[in-house]
Amino acid sequence: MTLTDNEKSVLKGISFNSDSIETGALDDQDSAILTEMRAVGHYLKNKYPTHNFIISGCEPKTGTLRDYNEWYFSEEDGPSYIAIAIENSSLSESGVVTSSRTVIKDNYYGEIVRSKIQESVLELVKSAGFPVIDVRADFSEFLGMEYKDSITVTDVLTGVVPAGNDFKVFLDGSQLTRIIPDRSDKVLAKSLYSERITRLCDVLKAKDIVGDVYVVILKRADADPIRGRLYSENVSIDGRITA
Amino acid sequence: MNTGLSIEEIVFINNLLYLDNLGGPKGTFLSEVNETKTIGDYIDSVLDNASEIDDSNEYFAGMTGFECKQILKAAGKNQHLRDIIIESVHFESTSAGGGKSALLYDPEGNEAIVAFRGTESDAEWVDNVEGLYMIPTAFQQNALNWYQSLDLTDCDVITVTGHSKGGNKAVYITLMDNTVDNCISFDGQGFSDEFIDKYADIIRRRQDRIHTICAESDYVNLLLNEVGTKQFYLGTNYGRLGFGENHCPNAILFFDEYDDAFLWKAQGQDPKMADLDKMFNSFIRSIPAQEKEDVAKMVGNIIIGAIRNNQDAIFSTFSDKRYSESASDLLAFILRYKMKYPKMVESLKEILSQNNIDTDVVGVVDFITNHSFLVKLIGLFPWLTILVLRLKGVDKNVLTLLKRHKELFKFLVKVADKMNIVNPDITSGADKKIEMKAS
Repeated sequence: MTLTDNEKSVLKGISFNSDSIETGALDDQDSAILTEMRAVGHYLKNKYPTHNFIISGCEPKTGTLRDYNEWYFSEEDGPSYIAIAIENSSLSESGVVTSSRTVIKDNYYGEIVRSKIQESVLELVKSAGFPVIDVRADFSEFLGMEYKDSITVTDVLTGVVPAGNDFKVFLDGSQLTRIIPDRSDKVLAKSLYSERITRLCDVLKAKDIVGDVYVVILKRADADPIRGRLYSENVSIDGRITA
Repeated sequence: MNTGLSIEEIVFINNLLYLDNLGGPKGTFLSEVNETKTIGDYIDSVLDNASEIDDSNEYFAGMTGFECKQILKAAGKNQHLRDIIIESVHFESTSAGGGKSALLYDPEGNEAIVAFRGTESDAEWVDNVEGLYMIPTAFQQNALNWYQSLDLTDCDVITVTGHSKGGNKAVYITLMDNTVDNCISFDGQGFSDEFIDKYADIIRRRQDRIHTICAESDYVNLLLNEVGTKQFYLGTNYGRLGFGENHCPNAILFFDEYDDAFLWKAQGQDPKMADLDKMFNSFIRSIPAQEKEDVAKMVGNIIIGAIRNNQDAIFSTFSDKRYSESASDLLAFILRYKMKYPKMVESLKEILSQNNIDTDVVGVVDFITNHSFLVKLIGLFPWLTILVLRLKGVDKNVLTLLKRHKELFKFLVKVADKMNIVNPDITSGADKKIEMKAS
């Protein structure tokens, strides 16, 4: 079997069999990995014809609960994205595999809408009167071939595109103190912080936004998000305001 | 040690590092999504989704869904642990072995906790065995480079920890960087004689910051020379993976019906493991320096075969001209060692079989090399050897194995020849120790 230099480099990063990879005499496991790598390469070319993505690495599923390998891809000197190939099998009633097909997905579109989504949530929270310092968005799901570059911020925010939204909202606690009468009472302070976070989440729910919202209240606007924190709370919202 | 963390909390953190895709993508502890969240937030979000976790499914590092939930429930009751913040996660590139680690922050003690997960890939296994002859290994150096890229200047206390290879990286960093206050290695392997000699002065000055914790029957911590103090704990040895579970990160956690976790100190190392420790050290010391690389590659090849459950690859290692000499050295040494310490070989066979390596081959070699006429027959009439073995009532599986791997005959002759030369008493099996600095 003839391998390209890039294929050799990626395979050597995850396999002990450097010599056989160099000569192309792959064992079954390395051969299966190469087949999948090539399939992912074709998928990327097909889905993103105007880009020149190169697969730069692989995180194998071996030893993890993941049932898919993660493939890192990027353009020259560009940021890295991840593609995954999942084996979808249909089983008969007796448990026999009747059909099987591989579905490939990637997180490129999620990454390119990330900054727009962060801006959108930040503006929303700010306009509701919260002293917001920063908003970060992450997505736990990958988007397959069915999603094109027409993907919109609203679709992602409202869950029409199930991207697995995870928002982190950082607030300036020094601006919140005006509404907290006695910060020396830690129990009271926490309950007031929590109450403000509930209100913030209601603002997001009113716009049908779904996902996990992690609110961090910092001592000051320029405080370190890890070491300068007063309070934090994680809330899951599904877009519906409850009484 | 001035860490604010208890040993139990350290064990919990090292277990959490392994949780991957537990009930879905949110169940991955070492995920960028969890950066800035607290350990309590992570635990709550996974337990909220507990119905998606299959109790009987086996997760990373031999832990089942049930066991993962036990860990999360017990860890979730510890408020100090819950309040620790996941500051950042770090993934080495694929070409650098893909090792994973995290920087955690304990606001109560203004303490940074740098934690490394255990062996991640084939490439990291290669790096493990390279520790036999390289100083440092590439991935030890990568771990140090990442540690030194972190800004920890505002922290009052810095603690590094890790399980297995992660423990080895933690110790390496502590020796190479004077900023570390505490190092707690969990079941981590040690360092070569050459490493101990090269860094004797640094070890003397910093080993009081290093503490290793292990299951009493863990079989990884006994590799090479330990640095610092060590405490053994009773292992739960659940039985599902048998002996192999002694290296699982949850092996030393005992739980009660209220989801509380306990650790129980053991009186010392399991005597079987102490024997193995000495045998392995003794073998490594019997190998000339220029041959250690070959031995390391041979061992690495066998380990990868075992991980992939590929017995043919393991047996091919014995006949492969690149590894045959080293493999015959090792086997001749073990068989000679057995004559003096028969119980040790039984321990070794138990460990091999629990790690997917068929010990029939050890039985075959043992039988044949104990009968010199069989060794002669092998060279002349291999098929006759099989006939003799059959008449002697040798197990059918062993015969099938020999028929399938006739190349092993040549290997066995080599082992038998070397057994006449090997003297297992010529090199010491004790760990190389550096005296503590004078107080």
